Amino acid sequence: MQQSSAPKVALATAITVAGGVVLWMAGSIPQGFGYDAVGPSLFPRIIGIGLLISGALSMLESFRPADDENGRADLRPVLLILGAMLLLAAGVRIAGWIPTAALVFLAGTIAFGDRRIVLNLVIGVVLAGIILIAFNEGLGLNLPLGPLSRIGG
Amino acid sequence: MLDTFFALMGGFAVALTIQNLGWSLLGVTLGTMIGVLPGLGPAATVALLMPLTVGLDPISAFIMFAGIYYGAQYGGSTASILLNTPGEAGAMMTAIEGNAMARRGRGAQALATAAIGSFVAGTIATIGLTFAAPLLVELALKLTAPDYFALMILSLATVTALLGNSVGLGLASLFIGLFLGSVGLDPQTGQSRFTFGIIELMDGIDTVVVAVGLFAVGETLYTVAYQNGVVEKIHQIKGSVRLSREDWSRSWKPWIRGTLIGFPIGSIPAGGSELPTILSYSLEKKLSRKPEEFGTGAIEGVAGPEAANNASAAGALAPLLALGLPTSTTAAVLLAAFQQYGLRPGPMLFDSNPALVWGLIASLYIGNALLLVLNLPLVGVWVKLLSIPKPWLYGGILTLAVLGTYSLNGNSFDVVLLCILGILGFTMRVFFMPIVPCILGLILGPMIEQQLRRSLAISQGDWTVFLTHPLSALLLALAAAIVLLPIILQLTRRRASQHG
Repeated sequence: MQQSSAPKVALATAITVAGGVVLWMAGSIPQGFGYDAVGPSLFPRIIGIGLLISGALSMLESFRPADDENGRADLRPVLLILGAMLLLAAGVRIAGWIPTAALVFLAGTIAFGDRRIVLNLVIGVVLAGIILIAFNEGLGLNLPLGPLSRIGG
Repeated sequence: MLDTFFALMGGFAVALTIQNLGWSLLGVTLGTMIGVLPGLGPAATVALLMPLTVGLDPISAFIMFAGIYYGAQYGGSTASILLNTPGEAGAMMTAIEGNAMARRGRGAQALATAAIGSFVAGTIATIGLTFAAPLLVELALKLTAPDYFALMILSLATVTALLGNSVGLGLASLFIGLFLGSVGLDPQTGQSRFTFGIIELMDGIDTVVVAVGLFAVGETLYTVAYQNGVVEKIHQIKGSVRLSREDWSRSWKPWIRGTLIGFPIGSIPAGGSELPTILSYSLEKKLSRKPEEFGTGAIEGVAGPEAANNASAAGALAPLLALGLPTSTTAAVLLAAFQQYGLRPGPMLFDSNPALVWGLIASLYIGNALLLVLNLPLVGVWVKLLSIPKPWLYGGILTLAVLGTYSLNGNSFDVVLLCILGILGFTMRVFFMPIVPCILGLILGPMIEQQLRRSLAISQGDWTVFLTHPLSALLLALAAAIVLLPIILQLTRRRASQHG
């Protein structure tokens, strides 16, 4: 009896399902012009089939005894970081670059076990501010100012 | 030969203007600075720094890229030696002996042999690139669409088969990359594919977002999930970065051998620097007069792989510039940079924009020399960067990742994509899934599709076109062999073990 690890089976299943979805979606891509030998849906179909094959192969391989282990994962800091990044995506236009980027920095420090929230928030604001000035003044890019734009005019 | 020499001199005339020298210096400095950060390899470094060049004219931008490219290689070796955190597979071998040397208090010598070895290898390999590129261009002009198609298939096959220990997961990584590459409007018919009705996806997914997400964000998430309170020790460097007579005599041959291994393998589609550094390491172990020192800090084990690593980085530029074919992840990110400027590397670029191509090559020589100057006396500064506390370090990396992504198009949706790709990169690390096939699939996918459709348009839908062109048939047979051999070996071995 060979050992199998549940996460690997789950991954292999996910790859296979993804292959199926890609294949199904590829079917609804309209064909190109009549004179094209190959339309726009052929390559997506190949990708779908490729994912199905690699999912099947991974499934076979997941029954091999594993020699690589990670130990226990703590997903809370991962979610914290992702949350801060999504918050930036949602709010950067309104709140501006400085506060949202400072929160991303802060989330990173908390995730890595630093509890000095006020200090790190200040560092984050300074870092984001330096970046904003360097980008907007030096490189001529426009990171959103947010409420600051009303002060600057 | 003489033409090449004059072209190179023209390149130096471009690269040696005060302004471009400044960009080169800025490039090598930033490249080293970001490359030295733990877990960030050259590909992630180039991707992170790409937005900085947005306002520049193409020539200055690529001179800066050349600096970042070489600087990231140097910075990566510093992190591997002092902190044992190789950011990319190519630095793994350096980390073994280099970190062992650092633990024994010989970190300064390990850094010195890595820096000088990188300089020697980089210079020889850049000379190699200078003369190989024009030859490749002549070859490239003879290649037809089916040949290009087969060459790229071979490239993906080698990368997928050589890296990682699971064929299934390697293939999955490749097809995920191909999928990401096919998102957006089909360039030939304008049909939208896999856009899920999201307008921002119409233009496709940016390579920069994928590289930053899979490498920088994925690595950060993985580190934070599995940190378990383990603190890595930075080994401070003691004494001067001077090599003793014995160090020199044990280093110079590995430098040369590493270069001779690294350059050719780097320039063929074999997945970048992983293979040449492993080859160089085992070769040096075999040739060493003190093989027992390997594992406890043998200087040959740093000198050889480090030279091979840098030589392969230069080697990878030959097919990139001459054929437009990336053979490593970093080359793939550089190709994305070319595309951002609307430039297509390949034989035509040598004709249409010689100032850019030769200026870029000339600036590789300059950057390499600048890096030697920057690294030997200033290594203490880079070491300080390594002693930044982890929370600040990763907080900073995350901020840079969001900055690089958002400033690309000023588009919040790209940051959402960055999160999704970060989760993907995290998952891939958890399952030891190789990332290189994904990046190469992303960038080569659309090119492969284009050549496939072009070939079939020429042959009027006749698929045998790939077999009737001798070169294409040969390359495809090679690709099939590379993919199928390990699977067959695995199956026969399993059958043998079941019977036995």
